Amino acid sequence: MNKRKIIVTSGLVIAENLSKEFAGPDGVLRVLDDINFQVLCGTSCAIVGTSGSGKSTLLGLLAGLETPSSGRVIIDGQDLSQLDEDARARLRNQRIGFVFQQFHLLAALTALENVSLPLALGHRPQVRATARAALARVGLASRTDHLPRQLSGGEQQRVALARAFCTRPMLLFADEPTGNLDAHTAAQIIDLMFELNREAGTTLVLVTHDEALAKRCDSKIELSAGKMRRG
Amino acid sequence: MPLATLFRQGCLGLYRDLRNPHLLVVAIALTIAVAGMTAVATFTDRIDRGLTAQASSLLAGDLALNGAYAIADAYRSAAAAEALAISEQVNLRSMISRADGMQMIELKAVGEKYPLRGELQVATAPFATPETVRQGPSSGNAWIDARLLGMLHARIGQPLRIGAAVLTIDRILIQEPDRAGDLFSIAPRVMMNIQDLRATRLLLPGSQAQYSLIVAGAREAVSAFAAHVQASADKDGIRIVHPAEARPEIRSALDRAEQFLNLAALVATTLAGLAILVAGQSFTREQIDSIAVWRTLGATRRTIGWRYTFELLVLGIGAAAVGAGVGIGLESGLARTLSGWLQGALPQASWLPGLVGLGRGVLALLGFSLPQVLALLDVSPARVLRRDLPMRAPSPLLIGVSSLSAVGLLAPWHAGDPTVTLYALAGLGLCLLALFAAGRGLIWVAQQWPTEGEIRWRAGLINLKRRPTLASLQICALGLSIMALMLLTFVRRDLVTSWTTSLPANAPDHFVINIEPSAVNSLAQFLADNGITAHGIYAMTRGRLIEINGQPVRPDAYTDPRARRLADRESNLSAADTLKDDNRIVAGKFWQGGDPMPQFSLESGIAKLLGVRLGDTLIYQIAEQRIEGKVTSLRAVNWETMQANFFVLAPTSLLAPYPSTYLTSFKLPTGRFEILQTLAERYPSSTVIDVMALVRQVRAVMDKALAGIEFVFLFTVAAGITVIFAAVQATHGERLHDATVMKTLGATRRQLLYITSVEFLILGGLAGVIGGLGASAAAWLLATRAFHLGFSFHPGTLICGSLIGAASVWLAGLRAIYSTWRQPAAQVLRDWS
Repeated sequence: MNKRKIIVTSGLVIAENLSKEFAGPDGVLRVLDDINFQVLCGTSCAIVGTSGSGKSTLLGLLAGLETPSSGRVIIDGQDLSQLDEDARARLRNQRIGFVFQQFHLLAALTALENVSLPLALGHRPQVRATARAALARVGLASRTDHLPRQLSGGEQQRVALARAFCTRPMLLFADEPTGNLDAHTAAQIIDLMFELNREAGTTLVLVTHDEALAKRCDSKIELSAGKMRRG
Repeated sequence: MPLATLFRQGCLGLYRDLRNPHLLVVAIALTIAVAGMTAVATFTDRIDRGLTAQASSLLAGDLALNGAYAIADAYRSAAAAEALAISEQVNLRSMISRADGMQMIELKAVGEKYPLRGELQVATAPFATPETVRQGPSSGNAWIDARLLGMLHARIGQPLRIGAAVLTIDRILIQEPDRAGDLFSIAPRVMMNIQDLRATRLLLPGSQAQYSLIVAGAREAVSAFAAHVQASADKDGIRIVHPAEARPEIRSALDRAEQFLNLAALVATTLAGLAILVAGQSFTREQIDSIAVWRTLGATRRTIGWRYTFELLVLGIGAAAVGAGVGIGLESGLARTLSGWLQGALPQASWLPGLVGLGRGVLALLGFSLPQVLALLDVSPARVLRRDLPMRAPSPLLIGVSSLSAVGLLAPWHAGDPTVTLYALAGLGLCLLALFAAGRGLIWVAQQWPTEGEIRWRAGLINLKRRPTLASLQICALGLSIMALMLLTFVRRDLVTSWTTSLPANAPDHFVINIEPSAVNSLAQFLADNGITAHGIYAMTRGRLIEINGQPVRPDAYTDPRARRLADRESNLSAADTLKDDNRIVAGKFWQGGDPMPQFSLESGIAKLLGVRLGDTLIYQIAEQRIEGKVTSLRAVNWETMQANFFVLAPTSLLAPYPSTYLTSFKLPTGRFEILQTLAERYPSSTVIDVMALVRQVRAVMDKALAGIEFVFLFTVAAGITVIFAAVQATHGERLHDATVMKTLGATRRQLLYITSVEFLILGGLAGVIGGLGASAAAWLLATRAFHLGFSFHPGTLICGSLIGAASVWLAGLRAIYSTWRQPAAQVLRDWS
C-alpha cells in the first residue's frame, strides 16, 4: 500500500518520516526519530510524553518554527520544506493559531494590541473591531487596555486564546496551555479552548502532560525518547 | 579564600566570559576611550619634547633682546664686552603685489651672523634637496617660502619688490631655526639682508616692527650680559628672552591645544563610561543566579567582590593596553591633521603617554563599573529557591558620585586654564542632562502618536516604551556626538558666513598702516583722485603699559592669555579730540577739544581685561619716555562697523611730542587692484592690509586647529555608537523574544525589518534632531553672546542631524535585526521559557 498517497489525501497535518538531530558535546543527539502520523481535519490530537521526550520539538517542526533533519511536514496539502521562511510565516498567519504555556504576550503592548498583532500582520480589515470582539468572546471586554503585567495568569492565557482564534485559523497548536496555571483556572481555560475550537471547527494539536486532558482529544500520540507510540 | 586564588578565579571567569557580548561592549568602549586619551597625550608629549629639544635653536641664539624700537648701541657694546657673538634682526609684516591683489608677508631682515644657533636650510628650486647654510641672504637677495613662489607665479632669479627696494629671489627657504611651523604663520616668509632694509623705506619711527638683538656664547658670559642689561632693558621697554621662553605662542597654543584636545577626549571617555555603565549592568544582572549558587555553597561577600573585581581589572588592563596601542598608532593621524607646530620632524612617540593612558583607562573602568560590582555583594542566596527575588539595584547616588569622580579625575586640570576645564565639565554635565531630558520628552511625544490601525508602528516603539531611561540615554549619547560634529562643521561654516554677510555694505576692506606723517595729505589726495573715500585718518603711537596706580604691570600676574599678551607688548595708542560716531561713553566723561590735562580713554572690554577702572592712573612707555595720565572715560566701541578703532585714546596734545605713524581705511572698488599697486609703489613705507585676505588666512589656520579637535571627536562618535550597542545588547533578549513571537504569529522578514527599523530609525532620528537642536542652541549662544552676530535657524541642521543619527543607529542595530532572522523560533521560545 502506498502510505504517502493515503496521508496526502486525508490529513490536515501530516508528519512523514520526521527526524530531528542536534549537535551536542557528546556527538549528535537524535531528539525525534522517524515520526509518522496525520491529524484529520476538524479533529483534535494530543501529543503526550515525559519531559525531554521531544514533544515541544515536534510541535515546533509541525508549525514550521524549525526545520527537520529529515522527513517532512505537510499542512493543508503544503509541504513546509518547500516553503521559505516568509512563506511559512504567511501560512502560519493565515491558517494557524498558537497557545503557549508561557503565554508569550508582548509585554509592552496592551491586551487589545496583542490580539490585533496577527490581524495587522496579515493586513486584515477591521483590525481593532475584530480584536475587540475576540477579547469580548473570552470575557475580557473590560480589560482591553491593560498591559499583560496587569492581568492574572488566567487572563493572560485568555488574551492568548483570543489572539489565537481572532484570525479564525483552521489549525491550533497548543503547547502545555495550562502548565503555568492553578487547577481551577486551568480547567476554565481548557473548557474555553475546546469551546472555541468547536465553534470555529478548528483542528487542534495539543502538547500536554495531563492524561485527563489528552483523553478529551480524538487521538493521542505518545512520545518516548523521541520515538512514537500511537494511542 | 586567599587573594591569589580569587585572582586566578577572576582570570578563569574572564576566560569563560570572553564571548559575553556585554563584556565585549565594555572592552570596546574602554579601548575607544583609552585610544582617544592616548592619541592626544602622545601628540602633545611629542610637541612638548620637540619644543624642549629645540629650545636654543628656537631663539637662533642663547639670549634675545626684543623691542619695538631699534636696540641702542650700548647693548651691543655690553655684549661685545662679554665676548658674545651678536646677530641682529628686524621682523615686520608687509604686503607685496601679486597679479590679483596684495599678499601679506612676514618679513625678516637678518644680519651677517644669523643664525647663531640652529640650522638654516635653503633650496635652489622647489622640491630640490635642501642644503644647510651658515648665514642668511647676502645684500640684494631675498629668500622666500616655496608657497609664496607659487602664489606669485615667480621663479628663482626673478625680481621681488619689497617696499621701495627690488631684491632678487635667490633661494627657497626650507627651514629657519627661530620660526614656528606653518600653523603659527599667518603669512609666508621673506628673508632678506638687514642692510637692504633702509632701501625698502618700510621702517619709520613707530612702525609695527620687532627689533631683536641676539647673542650667543659661554653660559656664564650670557648670564653676566643678561644681568648687566636687565635694569636698562626694563627702562627701555626691551624684553629679555631666554631659550626656555622662546616662542611663547607655541607653548601657550600647546597648552591650550592640550586642554581642548583632552576635553574632547574626555567627552569620548564620558560616553564610553555610559556604555560601560549600561553593559556592566546587563552583565551583572546575568551573574545573579550563579552568584546565588556561590553564596549558597558558602562564598562570602569578600570572595564575590574580589572575584568580580579581578575579572574586571584583568579585562580593563587588557582593553586599555589595546587602546593605548591603538592610540599611539592613530596619533600619527592627529599629528598629520595638526601638522606645522614645529619645523622638522617631531621626536618619536614615547611609551609614557601609553602607560598613563592605560592607568586612566583602568580608572575610568573602575569609576563607571565598581558600584555595580558592589551591588553583586548583596545578592541573596535565597534566589536559588525564589528566582523572583529582586536584586538590589546599585545606588544611583553611588553610581553618580563614582562616575563623576572618575570624569573629574580624568579632566585635564594640568593643562590650560583650570576655570575653562571647570566650565567645560559643567557644560558637558548640563548638556548631557538637557539632552537626556529632551530625549525623554521626545520619546513621550513619539508614544502619543496616533497608532489606530497601525500596530506595526506601535510594535516598533515597544523598546522605546519598555525602557524609556535606556532609550533616553542612547539618544543623549548619540545626540552629544552628533552635536559635537555639527558644531565643528555646519555651525562653524554658518557662523563665518553670518559674520561675512553681517558686514555693512560700505565697510572698509583695506587698511593702510605705517603712513608717514609727511605723506598723510598726499595719500588722502591719492585716494580721493581714485574715487575712494577714506574712513578717516588717525595717528597711532606705540606704547607699553608699565604701571597702573603706581604698581608695575607684570604679564604673569594675569591669568587670561590675552591680558598677558597685552601687558607684555606694545599696543597702539591714538590721539583724538572728538569722539567717533561708533564710540559711546559708558563711564566718565570724554574730553572735548584740546584739553591740556594728560588723560586716557579706554575701551571698556580691554579695561576690564587689564583690571583698569575709571580714575586709575596709567603710565605708558613710548620709546624711552613715560607718559602718565588718569583714565577719565571708558568707551563701548561698535567693532562691527569695521572702522579703525583704538583701545586707548589720549588727547592730541599728550601724544604730539612722540613718534607716530598714521592709519586709514577704505573700501576698494571692485577689481581695482592696480590702485593698491600704485599706492605700494608711491608710499613704500605704508603697509596695505587686505582684511578679507587676512580673514581667509586666519581661517585656514583655524580650520587646521579645528580639524585636530574633529579628529578627536571621531572617538566621541565611536563611543556614542558603543552606547547604542550596549543598550541594544541590554534589550537583546526581550527584542529577540518579541520578534520571535511576531514571527510565530506570521510576521515576514520584511515586516520584522520594518518593525525593528521603526525603533532604530526613530531612536537615531530623535538623537539627530536633539544633536542638531543642541548645535543650533550652541550656535545661537555663540552668535548672539560671543560674536554679537545675528542668528538664523537652519532646518537643514536638524534634517542632516536626524539623517546621520538614523543611519548610524540603524547600522548599529543591524545585528539585532539579523539575529531575529537567523535564530529558529522554536529554540528562542524554549530558551525564553
